[in-house]
Order: sequence, then C-alpha cells, then structure tokens
Amino acid sequence: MPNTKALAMREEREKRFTGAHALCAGCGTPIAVRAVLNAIEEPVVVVTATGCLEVATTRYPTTAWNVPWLHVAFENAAAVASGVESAYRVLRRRGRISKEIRVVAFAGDGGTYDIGLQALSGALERGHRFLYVCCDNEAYMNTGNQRSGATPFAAQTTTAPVGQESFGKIQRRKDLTEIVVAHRIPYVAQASIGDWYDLVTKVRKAVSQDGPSFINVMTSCPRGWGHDSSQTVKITRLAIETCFWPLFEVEDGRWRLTYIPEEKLPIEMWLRPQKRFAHLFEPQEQTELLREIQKQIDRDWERLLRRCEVSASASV
Amino acid sequence: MALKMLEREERTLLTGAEAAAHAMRQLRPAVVPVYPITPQTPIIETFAQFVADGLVDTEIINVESEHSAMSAAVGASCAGARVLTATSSQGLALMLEICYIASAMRCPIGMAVGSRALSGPINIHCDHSDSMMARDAGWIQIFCENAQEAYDLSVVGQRLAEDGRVLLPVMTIQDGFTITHSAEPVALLPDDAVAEFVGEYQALYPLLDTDHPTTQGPFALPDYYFEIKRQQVDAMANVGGVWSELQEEFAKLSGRYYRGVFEAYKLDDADYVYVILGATAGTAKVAIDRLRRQRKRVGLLKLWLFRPFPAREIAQALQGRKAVAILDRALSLGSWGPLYSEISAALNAISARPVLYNYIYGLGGRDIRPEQLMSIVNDLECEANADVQRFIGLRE
Amino acid sequence: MQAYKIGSYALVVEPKRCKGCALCVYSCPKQILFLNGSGKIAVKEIEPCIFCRICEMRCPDFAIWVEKALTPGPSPVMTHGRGVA
Repeated sequence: MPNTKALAMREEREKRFTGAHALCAGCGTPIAVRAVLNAIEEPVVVVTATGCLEVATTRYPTTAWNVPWLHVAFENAAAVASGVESAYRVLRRRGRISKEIRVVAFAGDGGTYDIGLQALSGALERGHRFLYVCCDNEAYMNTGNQRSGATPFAAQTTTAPVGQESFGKIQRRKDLTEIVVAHRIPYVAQASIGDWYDLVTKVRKAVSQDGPSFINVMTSCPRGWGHDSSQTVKITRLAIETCFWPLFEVEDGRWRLTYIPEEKLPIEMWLRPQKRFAHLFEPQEQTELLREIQKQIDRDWERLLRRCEVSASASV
Repeated sequence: MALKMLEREERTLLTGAEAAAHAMRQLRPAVVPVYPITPQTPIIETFAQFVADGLVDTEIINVESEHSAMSAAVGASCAGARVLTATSSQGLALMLEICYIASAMRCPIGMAVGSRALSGPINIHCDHSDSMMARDAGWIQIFCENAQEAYDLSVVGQRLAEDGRVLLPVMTIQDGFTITHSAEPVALLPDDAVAEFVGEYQALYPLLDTDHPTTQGPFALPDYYFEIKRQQVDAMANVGGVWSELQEEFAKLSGRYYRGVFEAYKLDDADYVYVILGATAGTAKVAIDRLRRQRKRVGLLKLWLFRPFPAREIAQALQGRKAVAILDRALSLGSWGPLYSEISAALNAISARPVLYNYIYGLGGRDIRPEQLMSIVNDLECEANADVQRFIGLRE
Repeated sequence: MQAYKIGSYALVVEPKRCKGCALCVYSCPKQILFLNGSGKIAVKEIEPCIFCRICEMRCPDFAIWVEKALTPGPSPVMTHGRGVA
C-alpha cells in the first residue's frame, strides 16, 4: 500500500491539483482532494458540485486543476458524473476512446446529505462506475456556516444559533454513510483526513470496483468549526479517537472497522477545542447535553461494532 | 433526381412521438437520459424499444428526475457525446435550472418537448406555458405543426445545434396529445441519409480527452461573466443564417423545404394576418381557406423558430398590413402573451405598423375550432379595441 | 522560493503560496518548521529533516515540498512548481 513518499512521488509524475487556489488557510478539503487524486493510478475525470472547492479553485480564467474537471450545479454532481460515465462507456464501445478512465465526483455535505441526495441515490442505484467523495465539514461552509443534515447535535451554526431558547442544532446528524450502504453498491467507506493512509487505501479499493463506490471523508473547516488552522488534521483525528467519526468500510455488504482506537477518548476532547461547541462549556458546563452527546456516540459505536462482528462471523 | 425522391417517399403511419423517436434513432445519439412524463413518454418508450431491439447503440440513462436528466445530459455532452432527451411541462420546469447551464456551456443537446400546461392546477394537456417558461434559457426553440415537421425539424435541429457557428441546445416542440398522440402519414428518410446529413458529433473540448485537460463550468465573477453571456448572444444571432443554409440542403435531401424561419400561408396579399405557433396553425389554415372563400384577405404566419426570435423577418412580413391577430397558447401573467410582446417589440423597426390584437387560446388543452378562429377577423375588420387581451373559448 | 539541501534531497518552501495555516509546522515530526514574522512558512534548521514529505502532503496550498534532484537556474513556478531557484 502506498506510503506518503510513494504518493508524493505519484504527484511528482503528474500534478493533478495545484496550489494558488483561494481556499482558506488550513482548509481540510484540498488535503482530501490531493490524497484522493494521488491515490488513483489511472487517468481521472473530476466532477465537482458547487461549493468552496469549486468556487475557490476555478475562478475564471484561472484553474487549480490539471485534470479534466467539470462543474454544473450544486445538487447534481452524481447525475453529471453518471452522464460523463455513460458517455465514456458508449464512446469506448464505439472505438472513440481507448484508455481506462476513472470518474471521481467531489461534493460537500450540503451537496450530498441534503440537496444532492436524490441525484446521488439515483446514480448509485443505476450502478454507474464512479467514485463519489463527500468532503464532509458538517455545515454549509461556502455560504458561511449554515446548518446542514450533516451538522452534529448541539453544534452552533448561523441558521441554528445558540440563544436563550436554543443550544444550536436540536436534531442529530443523519447517517449518510449508512444510507449509501442501503443501496448495496460494491464499496462504501467512511474516512478522514485525520488518517491519511486509511483514506488512500480506501480510494484504491473504491476505484477498483466495477460499479459505484462512495467515501464519506471528514474534512474540517477551521473557520466554521472555530479552531486554529494548524489543528485541522488534529481535530479530525480526535473525531476518530472519540469514535464520533469511526473509520470503516462496507465491501459487498460486509462491514469492517479499519481502525479501532486503543482507548476510546471522551467526546469532550473533540468538542472542547471547537468554538461551535463553546456554549457547552461556557459560561457553565452543560453536563446534561454533554452526557446526551456521549450517549449518542456510545450507542452508535456499539451498533457499528455489532454490525462489524456480525459481518466477521458471517464470513468465517 | 426528383423522380427518385418521389419513389423513396414511402409514408408510414406514425404519431408525433413515434416520429420524434425515429429521428432520435437515426441521429444515433451516444447518450439519452430518460424520465417519463405525459405526454412526452411515448417518445422515450419508442426510443428505448429501438435500443432494446439493437437498432441503435445508445446508453440510455434511466434517471430519477428530469433535473438529473438534464444534468446527465450536460455531463455527457461535455464528455463528448451527442445527447438527446425529451420532456414536458413540470419536467421542463424541474430541468430549467440546468437548461440555462446547458446553453451557457454550449452543449448542443437535442430535446423533444411535448408541450403541456404547467401546474396549477395540474393538467396534462397542451398549451405552450412550458416552452414559454424556458424561452430565456438560451435554447433554440423550434415549434412544429405536425408529426412530419416534428421529424424533419428534429433532424435539421440537431445539425443546427451542433454547427460550429451555433453550438447551442435545441428544443423541438410538438403540441402534447394533439401531435404526440395523433397518427399521421410521415415520410421518413433512409437511415444512412440522416447519418450522412448530421455526421458524427465532434466536441471541441471533450472532457474525456485526458491528454488535454480542460476546466469546464468554472466560477466567473463580474470581470468575465458578462463577456461569456455576450458569446451566447452572438451564437444565437448566427442561428437564422445557418438554419436557412441547412434547410436548403435538407430540401435537396427530402424534397421538403422549410423556407425562411416561418411559414407564410396565403400571406402575400393578406390585409389581416394570424400569427400562430404549433398545431393550431393547421386549424388556422382551414379557417383561412374558408375566409378566403368569403373573399376576406386573411393570411397566416406560422413561426418555426421562436428562439432566436426572427424579429426582422417578421417585421418585414407584417409591414403595411391592416391588422394582426397574435394567438398565444400561454400566459405571461401580468402582461401580454409572450408571442404578442415579441412581435410588438419587433414592429418598432417599421413605420407602417399594423394594429396588433392579442388572443389567448387553448390553455390546459381547451379545444379550438376553425369557426372560433374565423370569427377573429371580425374584430380586426371593425377595428375593435386592440388595447385588451381577448380569450378564445373561455366561459366568463 | 527557498531550497534547503542535504545530499540529493532538498526541502523547498514557497512563501508566496503560503497562507500561514501552520499545518506543516504542527505536523512536522522533527519540529524544524516555523512561521516567520510575516506569518509565512520558514525552515528553522534543515539537518534533522528526514524528508518524510508529511508537510508536503498536508499542505493545502502546495507551498512546501521535497525535491530529489536540484536543477539550477530560474524555476518554473506556477503549474508545475517543482523547480528550485
């Protein structure tokens, strides 16, 4: 499996994505994009949904992309990718294209969990061969941190603010990865820029599938989450270690944890460094809310463990 | 040569939907995203059967919505494929966001539209509110009177869309049910003749050319957006000329000549002119024939091209007439009918401006009969108040 | 652009591209990086560098990288910014 050096050398041969883009200091998304593109050996075509990644990397007439790149709108990255993939299939059949090409779609959590869910579901059900990467930073960050279906319980956003009558988002985030698993596609995974090796391994597996694959990648937004820009990777690592964002994969319906923390850290360790959760600690600690959050995570983690155990025992 | 053509002219009994599907088959599209909606559905059903029977090698994408149909169409078109699709009414409404992007990205997508009223209330029958809603989306819009036109203009329309001077998406619009579901004898061209006429689609910058990466659909700020829109204006301006060129070529191939951007029926000496889009032109011809027998000098101007709007040609044709009845099968609520507004603006260029009357008819599939169209001429002759919108066949 | 060379490897930093997030500073296993007075990436000392390339792969802005062979002369910066000044 590729190590950091091997991937850097892959990039040396072909620089697919470049700097001088306008993403914020410490943004997690370009780290994910770079890793994903470097992990793929074959030529790639990239489709991107509207969002930070799109606006900040393609301000006309400049571009940060050195691979074919297409953006159409916010909610339709999966549908656009299915059009590209269908064209590829038929043009290859007709002898107009001879290369093996991989189609990769990037979209944020708003473009995937919410407005793009229908297009994603349709494309997965139809079985197009493409990799869909959701760069999940848990809110509509491009428009300035509004609540999305991916925003976690009790997080503060501008459309679910904290006030006398509110502690932020009162609902839990939806489990998109699980929704995607229900489509019974060949490969689904949850990954993070906090475990780079794991992410790259999953991308390699994903693009080798003869069908749709999906990876939900946690990428932090320092401005929206409210942490120092140097902590982008650390904070996503803490999400893994607290089991808020477990790393797992579902290959042909078999669930498998790809990382098990030696010691599951208390969720406070992930919450405390982020300003979007500051109201849980200041002016006084919201012990009940914190207990509720911990309970949610414990329950989800137990459930995931059981799923993986069942898969493991079934495959023995 | 002419004799040979006549021999070839075998006619097949086809509905407008089937005729459009045959055109699609002969255009050999690489990708066709499909989503059902009445009254367009038989177009994609007929085409899907052609694919299932191995008559054409196409990737059909059974999308989950029209929004995704147009999105996949743009994706496939940018990738380098010839893309066709079809829709109606609410489907077009759902697509509309992406229709604007398709034209801005200069994707020559061909779309058959079975015109149907927009909700609400929900209604499945014909009017032109769907196509009129999309009139500013940057698509070429061709209105057809019958199944033969739906077939012919789908073929010519695709070549027009893909012409290097144009590169714009095209809607070939046929009236829902009235044309889509009515069988008529249609003369089809041989498959190879159509293939030769339209050729292979070669995208200028195919996304799938990984050796020459392009960034498509970037973010354009105030410093560039305006210029990019201006390029669409120029492309639209080229449509009329290319249309005439192609129609001459098509006439040699088919024996059917769509001369000019509209059909002039008994127009030469007409004092009174009806302007109509779509199938009702057929009814109007019957009405005009009867009026002519009463020695009334009435003629018809039936537009094929609505976008780009052939303003100069229309102004020329209407110059010096006594009065013009403009029949709109759509509303622009709070204003005149869309066709009326266009023609009114077009006539600013001429001095001898006829009196214009606006008639709204046939909304939600309300029938229109020759007698109703005949009675219009009475308003025109007695110089009735032209300052009101009139409704034909409405209970008030 | 500055190149810090040891043997056949060089660590290259391009302050013009740096947005000062300090992700590299934080992730360097040898703690040889820091932000200078203008908040841009700089190298404290090159000797401990093991050329692991973690800084390179973590940098969202392609402002730091490792090069194998040094090429003298002016560098092509923007699209394939692997030259060394």
